[in-house]
Amino acid sequence: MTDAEDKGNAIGDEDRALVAELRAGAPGSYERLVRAHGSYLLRVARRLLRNEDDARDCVQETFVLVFRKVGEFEGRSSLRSWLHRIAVNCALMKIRSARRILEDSIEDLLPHYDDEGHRVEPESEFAASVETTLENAQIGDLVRRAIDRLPDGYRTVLLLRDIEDYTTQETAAALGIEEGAVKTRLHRARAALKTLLSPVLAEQAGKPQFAWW
Amino acid sequence: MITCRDVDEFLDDYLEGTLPEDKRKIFEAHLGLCPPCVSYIRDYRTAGTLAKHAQEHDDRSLDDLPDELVNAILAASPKPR
Repeated sequence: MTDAEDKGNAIGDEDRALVAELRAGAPGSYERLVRAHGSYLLRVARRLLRNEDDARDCVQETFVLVFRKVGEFEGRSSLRSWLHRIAVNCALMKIRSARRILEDSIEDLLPHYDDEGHRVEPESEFAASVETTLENAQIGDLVRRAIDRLPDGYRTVLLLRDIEDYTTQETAAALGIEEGAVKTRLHRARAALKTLLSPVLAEQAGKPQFAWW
Repeated sequence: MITCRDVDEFLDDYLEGTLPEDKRKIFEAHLGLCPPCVSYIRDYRTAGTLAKHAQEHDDRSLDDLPDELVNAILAASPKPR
């Protein structure tokens, strides 16, 4: 189940029963929670943090917080959505505390224009269809690596908006920035990702290209 | 007439269908005359689709959580009452 499918669903009977057991401190309930949702949260943390140790720390911190806060869970969303939010916030705090540079240059990856505002762009290189490309498992890795290459300030916005299904407003709140900044960064991140993926997809289409990786 | 630079500025609003009618007409008039913009927008959307699908594929292939991580988490859990 993806978060997109899960998002917004009210709490189900199974979740409700597990939450009741957690609140009662029932033996085995914590392990069931961890085994049911831990892998998913680890994937979310890996996407945002790009580092296995940081991702595992994030998942551990998420569950420790959840164990403490489960009494506050109101059941307005599914348990997974609630856990997802906590894990994302935890990962964002780690990114901030690492003092990573948020505004690395992304200019080289953005569209270029001439003096009159006309696009100066190489001919399109995305000759392979999306469907054909998606069948290639290696492409998934290349796409994830391309996202990883974006500067944090853009990468986090792209991940929250396009992958984790946060709204503009939710993304702005999570990152502590204005909604206008979310929109600008999202557009620049998408444009940069297109630039980064062009040689990969051109290769898929059988055209020899300079290798970025 | 708007420029390619203007197209990029309004692109996300256009793709999300939130561009007002009058601006949308001007936007589409530009696309009718500018194959490079049509090509750019197609690739921009493809990149987004690939990103989304790559992550969804990633989510479908969940591995079990490493045992040492499960144990570390459970060691921090409240003791059963």
